[in-house]
Amino acid sequence: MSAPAILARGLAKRFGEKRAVSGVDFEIATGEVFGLLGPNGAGKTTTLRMLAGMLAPDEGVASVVGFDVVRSSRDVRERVGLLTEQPGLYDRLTTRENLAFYAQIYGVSPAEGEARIQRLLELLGIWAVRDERAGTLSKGTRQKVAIARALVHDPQVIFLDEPTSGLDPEAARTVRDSISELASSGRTLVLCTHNLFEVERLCRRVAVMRPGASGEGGRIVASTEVAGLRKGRREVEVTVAGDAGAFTGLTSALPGVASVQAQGSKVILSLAEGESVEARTPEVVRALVNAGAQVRAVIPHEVALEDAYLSLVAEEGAA
Amino acid sequence: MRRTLALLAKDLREIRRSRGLLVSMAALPMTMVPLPIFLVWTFEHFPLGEAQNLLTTAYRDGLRSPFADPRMALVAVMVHHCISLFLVMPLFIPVLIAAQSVAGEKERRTIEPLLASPLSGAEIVLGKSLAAVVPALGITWVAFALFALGVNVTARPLFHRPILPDGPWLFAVLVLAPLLCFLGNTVTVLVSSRVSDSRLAQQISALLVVPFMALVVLQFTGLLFLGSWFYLWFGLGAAALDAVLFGVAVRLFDRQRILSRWA
Repeated sequence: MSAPAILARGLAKRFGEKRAVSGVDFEIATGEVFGLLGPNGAGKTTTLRMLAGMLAPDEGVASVVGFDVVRSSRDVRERVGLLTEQPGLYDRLTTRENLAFYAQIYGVSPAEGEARIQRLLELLGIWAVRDERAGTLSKGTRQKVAIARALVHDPQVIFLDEPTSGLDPEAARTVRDSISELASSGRTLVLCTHNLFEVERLCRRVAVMRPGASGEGGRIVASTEVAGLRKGRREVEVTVAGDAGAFTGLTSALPGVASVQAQGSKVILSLAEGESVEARTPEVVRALVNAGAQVRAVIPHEVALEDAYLSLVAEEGAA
Repeated sequence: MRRTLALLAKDLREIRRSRGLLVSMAALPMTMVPLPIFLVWTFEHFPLGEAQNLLTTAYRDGLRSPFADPRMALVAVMVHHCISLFLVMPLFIPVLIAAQSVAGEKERRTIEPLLASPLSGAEIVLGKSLAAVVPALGITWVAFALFALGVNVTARPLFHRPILPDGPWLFAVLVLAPLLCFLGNTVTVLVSSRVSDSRLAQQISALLVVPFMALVVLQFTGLLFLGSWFYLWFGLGAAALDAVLFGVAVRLFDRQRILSRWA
């Protein structure tokens, strides 16, 4: 098995008396798109900054593409692209000048830099604004320029801090599409967000952080595959004509079904752990129809990612 | 060094495109160059009467010049006094620029991508310092060239030869001006690393000019004469202060400190 692109063990950081983050552990494989979820103040940005070689952790160790984030922070910074929450563009410089400056400080040759800038701006669909000053660009376009800046040195690892924060739905969608493109290019991506839709669409695995109680510092409360967050209710409720009791024996034999209940004209099938309601519902309906049932309604019940996330944060809040 | 030069070039480009900053930078030379030339012209063209006696008494320490003619001696001492006035320029212009370029990065939220880059703290401070010192020094030298030309043309009927640049002025422009540019810049970088906005950084750093202006006033009122020895010691002091403060500025321009305080 190849070494992980990012490895964090027991990371902790405090600012003065205030503990910002404690006990952060995770491993991210090369080419993986990993989500770092959590409410404001959970320590996501601090974690990103430690992994990007900008802040030294007070406790624990971390490495990015094999480089220790403290001992080799410059090597880490050279290999990492960071999309900050605010685009942070120089308003008086044009799009191209902004990118050329960053290409230079990352040691990209001028000719290579020009070629990369053109390629990135075309990829992101903003080649037309190459000679416009950043201060005149729309919010969505600025964010795309910031994405191009994070990529101009062709980094191995990309950290995206709240990439669609404050964008209108259309701009957010184009930014998400750009991230999808990146994800398919084989780079390792860490997406730091509280936008669950984004996580669901882009990430395979997530770590959920929450703010610590009374000076504990933000910490990870769950680290799992996105699908694994949806623990709890997974049911298919089918309403048939007449008594549903006649069909319980049939449906309990279906693969992926853990238990079946009949309530009047309703058959309620609970699915086994890890089963997808979306995938199993057609099989259930097909089996019922083949057995002569007149299906009147089908209602799938699945825990939404949002509910799973909120319950995680609430559980911790209550603890 | 290549990275530092890239930062310098970027900052210079931003300065060139900042109309407000350019106007502020031009304001000082626009008053400091014509005013002394006008004074020289006045001394030369108007009978000084009682004022001549007053000035001769006030400036008696400075009047040990080789000019027997009291009018020539007065012009010479006035031109000499202008050194301290002129040196306010290289001290003050970097304050305007550095406050914008250092604290301004925080205000405009451009500091975080910069800190995420491979640039070291020392490279950032050096690049930013050069971006403040180079234009300030350029303006000072151009202003001096115009000042020398204006004084030489205006005073020619009296002296029949160019009087500038002389030794003290050359020392001031070539040695003291770069040292003061650096001092103004370094103090502003230091202040900028502690305060949260560029205007506040500018206002605090501008206090550096106050003791210097006091010297100018004392000199023009005749209470003090700043001779060559003063400027020599002053230069040594400024050089030592520059070295110490630059070291402190680099140390204070620490990623952790900036991120925990600013971003």
